Amino acid sequence: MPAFVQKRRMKLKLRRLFSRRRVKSADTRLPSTDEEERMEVEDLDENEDLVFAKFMKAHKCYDLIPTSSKLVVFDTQLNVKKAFFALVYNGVRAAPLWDSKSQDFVGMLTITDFIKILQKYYKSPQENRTDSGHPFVHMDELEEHKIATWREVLNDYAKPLVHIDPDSSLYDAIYMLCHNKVHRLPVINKLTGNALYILTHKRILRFLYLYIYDLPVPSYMQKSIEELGLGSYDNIATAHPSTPLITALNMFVEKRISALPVVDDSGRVVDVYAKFDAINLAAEKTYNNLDITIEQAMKERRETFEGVQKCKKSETLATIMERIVKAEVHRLVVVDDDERVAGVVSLSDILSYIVLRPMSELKSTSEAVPRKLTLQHSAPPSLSVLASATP
Amino acid sequence: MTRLRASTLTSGEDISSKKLPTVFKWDGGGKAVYIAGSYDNWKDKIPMVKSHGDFYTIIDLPEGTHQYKFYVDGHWVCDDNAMKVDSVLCSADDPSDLNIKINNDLGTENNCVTVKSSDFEVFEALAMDSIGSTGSKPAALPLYVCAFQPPQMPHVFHCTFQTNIGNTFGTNNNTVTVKLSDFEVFEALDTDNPNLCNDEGSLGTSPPGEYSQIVPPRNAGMGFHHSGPPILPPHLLQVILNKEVPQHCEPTLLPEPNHVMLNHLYALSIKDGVMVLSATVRYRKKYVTTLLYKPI
Repeated sequence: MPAFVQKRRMKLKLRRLFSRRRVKSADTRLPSTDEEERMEVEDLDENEDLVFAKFMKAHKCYDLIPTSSKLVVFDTQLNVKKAFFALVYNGVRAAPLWDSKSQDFVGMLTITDFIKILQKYYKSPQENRTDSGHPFVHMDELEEHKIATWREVLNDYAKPLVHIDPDSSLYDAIYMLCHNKVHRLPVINKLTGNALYILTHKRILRFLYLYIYDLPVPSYMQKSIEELGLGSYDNIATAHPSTPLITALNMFVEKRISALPVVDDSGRVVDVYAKFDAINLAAEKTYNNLDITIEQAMKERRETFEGVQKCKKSETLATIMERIVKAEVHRLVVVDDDERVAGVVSLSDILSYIVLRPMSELKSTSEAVPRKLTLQHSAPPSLSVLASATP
Repeated sequence: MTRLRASTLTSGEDISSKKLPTVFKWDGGGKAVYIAGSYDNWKDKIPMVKSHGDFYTIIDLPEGTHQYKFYVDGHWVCDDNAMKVDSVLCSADDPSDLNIKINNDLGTENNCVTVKSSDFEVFEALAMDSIGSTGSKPAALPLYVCAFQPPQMPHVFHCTFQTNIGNTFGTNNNTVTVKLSDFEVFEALDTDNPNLCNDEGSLGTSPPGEYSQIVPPRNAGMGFHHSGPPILPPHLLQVILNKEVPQHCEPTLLPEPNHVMLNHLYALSIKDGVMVLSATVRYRKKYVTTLLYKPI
């Protein structure tokens, strides 16, 4: 197919996509997006790499909010233990924190907080055996701490809550997620101060997949992740089935990672222990003994476990994206031919590659060539024609 | 043939001067149904009223046993389901009645009914009641009686007087017994009625009490109208948080709320010192149900 025809077709597809978007913004009585953004889209056929970035710029956080959803909010005076039980009960992974005194959202409570509390205050029964024969240690901090107390311990007050307005673009949301290294981004309406939704990498990528088959396919999608240099491959932390749970939790906190591939004696991947799995400790109230091994801790999950989501370096980005969305996981373990851990590809790696990277590349090139300027030149001529026609 | 009908009637009246309303029913079909009987010497054919496919009439009868027959679309017939008496052969054992021989053309078989004043004691009681409540003696016995058919008498009784009627009605008459127990339903009805009027909860009835053009003092009605909080509109009971969400769905997804639910505060009963409050608000086209966990 001649390159010209292909470009033409792509332009048509995009027009369709964008007309849909314009209808949306008209519906919701929003001020239509500025001219500049639309021109950038017209310009897309010159740089297909930008397609996902443009898509994310063209959609607002509002678009991603489901028609009807539930949002769990905790008062900062709530007991941390009760808060974690409430997370489990509601089947949610994070909740914005409401400070009654300042009448504002001040933070988020996530499973990471739960792990940090466990890791910070856990006293091994082995160390305490001399005090009492009872193998379980009562974790007073978990039982008695209020969320506010816990935040003081972490010195979380120093950091302002990272949040986003529903009218901000998904591009901005991805930027905030990746640059603040957070996994939960609350959408808060700046007019009313109401929290509306919690954005995650997973939800954004799933939203993209609703439209992805209407979008042109950038050439990098057909390249392997090895070629693209996608994922992390150095110093991959792993665990063994016999690793004590507390060691795994320590690794989560110290290395700032969200999951540990579990490898057997021969180095092959047999499982993944993720931060999310730690919520089972709250659900089953088994957090008083963290000396158990990962294998023991995951016994309960085993029945519903569908196996480790893996990929190979040689697989294309398109294949990997498809797999990660379908499996509804946060990361794939990259393995070699012997099923040994080579690296990890996460949703944030993918999103930052397909959305943030092309944009930053564009910015650096646009500094050299004043691209926007040429665009603005392309629009005014029609105006001048009109102006000359009227008198 | 001597016509002795008058004597029947007279003798009936001798026993009791009171006449008692007795309901007759014809359920054998037909277009025009009449009833005639010994109570007036078979003089009048009383038209019966069709109701729900059957024909009814109420005749005030003196105490005693009466023979009767139906005249359906020009033919004299007996009700085979009712008490029958052979108009010729039956013997009377009521000493007050004379042997009667009626010569008519109604056949040899008649139906027969015995009216006893004791069966009507309930009506007397009723009448007394209405005197007490309205202060005026009713002109007639309560008419709602006609809403009920006196049942076909289950108790077979013998004809209490002998008739020797040589008529073309035939020799067999039906007989019917009217008993007090059959009227218990009226009693029940009657006791129900005052309750109905006084029942505050029943819809469509005006509150009891005197009505006049003078506005009663405000607090008089207060106790009645404002006895409790208003009833919760049923839409608000459909709490979306209580709806089962399919397992495969994301747990944060909820069914779309009904617009009346918006901006209403819902609460979970306080458990373990934690109160959960919930409200659904609309943001443009999206609905957000917020659950606030707060210690108390």
